[in-house]
Amino acid sequence: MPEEKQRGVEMQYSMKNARTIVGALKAAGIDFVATLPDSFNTQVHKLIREDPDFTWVVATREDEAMAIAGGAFLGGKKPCVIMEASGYGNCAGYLARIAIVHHIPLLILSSHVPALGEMYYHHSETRYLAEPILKGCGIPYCTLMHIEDADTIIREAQLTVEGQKVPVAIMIPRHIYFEGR
Amino acid sequence: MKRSEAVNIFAKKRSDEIVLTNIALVSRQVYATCHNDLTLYRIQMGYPLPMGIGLAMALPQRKVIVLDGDGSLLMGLGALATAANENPKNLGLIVFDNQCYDNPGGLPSATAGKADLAALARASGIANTALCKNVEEFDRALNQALKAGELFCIIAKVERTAPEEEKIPTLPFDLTENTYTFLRELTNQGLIKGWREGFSRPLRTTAK
Repeated sequence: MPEEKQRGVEMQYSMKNARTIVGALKAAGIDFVATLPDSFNTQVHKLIREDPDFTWVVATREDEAMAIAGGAFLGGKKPCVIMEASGYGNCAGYLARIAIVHHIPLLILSSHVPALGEMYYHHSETRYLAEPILKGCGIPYCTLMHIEDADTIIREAQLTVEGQKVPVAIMIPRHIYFEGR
Repeated sequence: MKRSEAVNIFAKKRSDEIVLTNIALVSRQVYATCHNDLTLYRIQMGYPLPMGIGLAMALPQRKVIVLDGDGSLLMGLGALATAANENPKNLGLIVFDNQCYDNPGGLPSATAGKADLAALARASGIANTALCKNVEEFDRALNQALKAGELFCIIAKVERTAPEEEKIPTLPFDLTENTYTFLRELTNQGLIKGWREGFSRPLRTTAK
């Protein structure tokens, strides 16, 4: 088997799945997205950016994105942070000290997660921080293993965000974003 | 200029602005001089400005003022660039720059050396930035900024906290309570929809 095929470079973004994720966010009432560049979420970003129903902000760090989303929540928006799981390492202070202590919730969608299928070592170690940080902060999270579950999981996550006033993280692995190998 | 002098000037000019403060003594000074329930206190270092950005974007009809310090802003300098690019015209940043981390013993901050926060703000794209070194300059800059109706940044050079300034009592509520009071007041003023128990949209349960 050619090395390129083994490394998965034949894969393509699944626009269908990206549309499903964005549609589920809209159905859950999300109207404000703070985000950072992320190779896996490229098509999700594109769809959100083109959709006038979303206010869209690009932050310089993951914790800054969370703080922007927190401010938007205070102002009556329903925010979501879309980021790589590698960024949780920047966010422990915000999550513990602001999201928990000030009781300011938000929904988090993160790619490059601690599920199987990560192809690059330089992504793998930082993303392993995600679950310990979320556990340490007592933040509920789950992994979206099947795109068919996107509507349900995102809706239930946002119900938890608003009902319990806590952050909730949904981790989205590689196979959801891409088609092919 | 003492920070308390600058805060007093701000307090006299405050009207219906939403105010976010950092974790430092400025939070207690604001509580003592111009508290109202549209004030969110003691936001962790690095986060007052980005929270102000999100809040200002969500509520463009109301001015949002962030009161920060040099140490806190230095922890989140990237937010200056985000603020400039988003350019919320109802957002203002006032930084009380005492060139040190006052509370934990006065360790010098980068602004005691070569760092220039006003230059950083301008270079990030916040054109309406003023550097104030005395009470008169601060008073004038704040007047202009509040009238201008555009994103602004004021860097107020202040002295280290004097012993008498440290005698201001701590806040008589905790931060979770502060958030709920803040949200209740936003609701009461019609700025956000009703803050209520549970999910914010009524769920109707039916059975097939």
